[in-house]
Amino acid sequence: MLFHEQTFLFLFLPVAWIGLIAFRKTVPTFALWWIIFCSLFFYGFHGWEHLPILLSSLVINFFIGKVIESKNAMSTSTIMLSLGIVVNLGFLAFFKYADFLLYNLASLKGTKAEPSGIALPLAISFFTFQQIAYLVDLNKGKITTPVFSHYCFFITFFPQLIAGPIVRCQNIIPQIIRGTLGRLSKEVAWTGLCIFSIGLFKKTFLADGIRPLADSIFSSVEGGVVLSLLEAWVGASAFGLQIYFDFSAYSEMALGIGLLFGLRLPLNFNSPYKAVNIIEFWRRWHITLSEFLRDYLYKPLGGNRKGVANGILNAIIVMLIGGLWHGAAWTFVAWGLIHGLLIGINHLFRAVKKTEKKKASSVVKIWICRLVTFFCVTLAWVFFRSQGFDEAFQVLKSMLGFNGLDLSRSLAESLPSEFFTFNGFLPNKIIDITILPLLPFFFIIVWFFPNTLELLKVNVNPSLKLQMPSSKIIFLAGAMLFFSIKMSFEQTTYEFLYFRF
Amino acid sequence: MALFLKNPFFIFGCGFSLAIFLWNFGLNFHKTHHTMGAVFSQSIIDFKTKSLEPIKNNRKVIVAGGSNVAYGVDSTQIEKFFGIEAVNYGCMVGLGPEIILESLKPNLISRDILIMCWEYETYLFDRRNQNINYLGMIFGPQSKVSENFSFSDRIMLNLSFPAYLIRRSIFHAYNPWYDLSIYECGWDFDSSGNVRSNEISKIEEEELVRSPLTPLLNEIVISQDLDDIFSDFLAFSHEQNVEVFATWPNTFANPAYINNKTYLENLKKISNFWRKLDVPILGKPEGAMLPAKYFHDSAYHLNAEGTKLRTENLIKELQPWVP
Repeated sequence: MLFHEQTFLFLFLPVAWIGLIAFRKTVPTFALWWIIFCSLFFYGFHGWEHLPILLSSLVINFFIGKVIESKNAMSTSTIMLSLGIVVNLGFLAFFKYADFLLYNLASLKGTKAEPSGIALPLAISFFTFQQIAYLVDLNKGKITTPVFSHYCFFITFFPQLIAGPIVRCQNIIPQIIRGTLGRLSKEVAWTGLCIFSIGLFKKTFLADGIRPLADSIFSSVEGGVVLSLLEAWVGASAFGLQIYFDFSAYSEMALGIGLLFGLRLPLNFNSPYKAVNIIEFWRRWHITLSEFLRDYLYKPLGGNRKGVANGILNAIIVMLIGGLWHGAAWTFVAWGLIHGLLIGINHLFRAVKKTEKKKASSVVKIWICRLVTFFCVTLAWVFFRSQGFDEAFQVLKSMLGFNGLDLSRSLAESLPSEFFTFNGFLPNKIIDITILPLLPFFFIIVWFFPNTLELLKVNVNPSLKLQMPSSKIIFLAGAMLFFSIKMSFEQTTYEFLYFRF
Repeated sequence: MALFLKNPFFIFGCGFSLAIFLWNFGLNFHKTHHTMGAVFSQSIIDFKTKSLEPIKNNRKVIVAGGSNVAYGVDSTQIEKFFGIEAVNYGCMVGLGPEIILESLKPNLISRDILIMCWEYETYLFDRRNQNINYLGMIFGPQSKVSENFSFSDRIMLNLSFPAYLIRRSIFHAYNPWYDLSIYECGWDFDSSGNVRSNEISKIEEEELVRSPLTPLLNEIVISQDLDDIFSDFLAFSHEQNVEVFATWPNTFANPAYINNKTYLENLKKISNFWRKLDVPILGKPEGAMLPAKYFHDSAYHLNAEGTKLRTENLIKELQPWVP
């Protein structure tokens, strides 16, 4: 049951929403349990066998949290915290990385490993990180243990359960205590509906619309096709756009549904391709993961307090782990490593620049920085998308022109044949060229349009009041909702890319 | 009035309605600017109706179905044997029976003999099962077929039409370098609609064994749509005094079918379906199942030798019915 499927749109969401409103008006104490029940059903619908894993993780962490809070001695609570982290990472290692570990150990021994057959429980990476953050914050005294129902709600609330945002206790629990769950003003409801509709449209029309371009190119490389320069760039940037719209869509839908239920979830996506450097990129892409890695890994490692070199090393370690978090494969590690190195280089630049006088950046400079950042991110996506290193290097070779330069046949007479081949720009005929004319529009949306939250003037801070969306936005949301609903009737719906993590 | 215009529900509804209008505009655009799948399918129908055109007003034998007929029946053999003009109306299974039968209707006259030989996939046909070929035709060159559909069917088909086909349609319409005629069917039909390019075998026995027909090994549930389509057509044929028969599609005698319970039940279901509609069945399913050496390039496509053998069998099965 995906956010853009009919079962969710026409059954689950209306039933959950109507149930909440009804309970809030009649038996308010049941309202919270109703949403917990719906969330568990939502999770179980993807695989009932994984529900006990979520529930046991939830109960264990709640219990450890209670012990941490009740122990006055610092040493005991630290031991309990360590135990909690070990248990959580153990869960993750067993369910997500067992095959990866076995495979690599066997490779080292020169043998072949049989797959363990352990299925990856949906969202395990998300609820594990969420609970580690909870235990750490509890140990630091930043929060106190909530009541069990509030804790269950904080972990299982369905809009954020499957693919984030990685919510922290302090984001959600105060809102529940204030009684905002199910309390809807006109402004909140309309803002929620508009954000949800726009997100839904992004997923069904934009992300899934460009998907065939990336899929055809990367799958043909797996089949041994050597790409031309243009094909490789089209494939890599198409994937960059696909994952952009896919994740942006999910984050917005989660935010929108949250608002429809009266809650504000944290911002998770903020036009990352507008970033002018890689550090800014990570402040805009998967914001809650970046913040988690910064607060619970980078800073405890020492951050950049012990000098630039140490800061760079820590950034690389953090991004390696971030890469591995995305998937149990060396290509994800390589993707993380590239980002770690880029962040390191960015830090180095900053350290050098600190000594220089700050000048206002010109538009040209901003655009050069933006394009360079996009170029680097796109190169890194190749590792993220490829099935293995062979395929990734093949795509990169083509992108950098090492597989020859294919040009239009019409140029054959005017250019030297030693440097070029004249089979056309897209010689392999593997892509649906009817999508190509749309590519510029995708870039225009990414680079020149305000994002949804800017359009709606939404501040995710729960203490600030929301404004009523403008008539234009409501009109647009109505149109987008129809198109998205229409797409849900088509034969194939694709899951969110971040569902795999 | 001004208050009403500012009502968010009204504004939202306007946006929603505009999108419905735009979507239907796109669908209508596709009806006049077809995409490659529809161009391919329609070119087959055009060729077949062209074969019928000269003998439209004569008594004739028509063998209709999907490509198993195009690549499995030789109408000239039938013509020679019975002395009645014959046409091979084998099109493409993906079109579904409705489009094929509707295109046949204007060409039928009293005392015509129609033999329907549908691939097993046809028995799974349901208007709403989102077959891209079918949708491309219904919202393309065969849009007239959908005029008699129920309101709910039309809504469902409208919504399930893939948006990417409209994108392609717009692209093809405004791209002067794009020549859609290259997508017209390139099967080598003779003037009676028989494929003549199936001389040799291109498929190995192992490949045929490896891929038994999935509709035969999974439970067939005949839809109400299929029942209605054939009932309507049979009512029309009855009115026109056309003799209608059903027969089994030529396919590879895969060992996977032997003693398979589902397979046997499916065949029984198909027989019962025709019996219920009062349509005589020619031959037995096994009679149309041939060894690997008779196949051209798929489990439904016979080579020239196979076509000859299959047609001889069909003639024998038809003989008692044609005085």
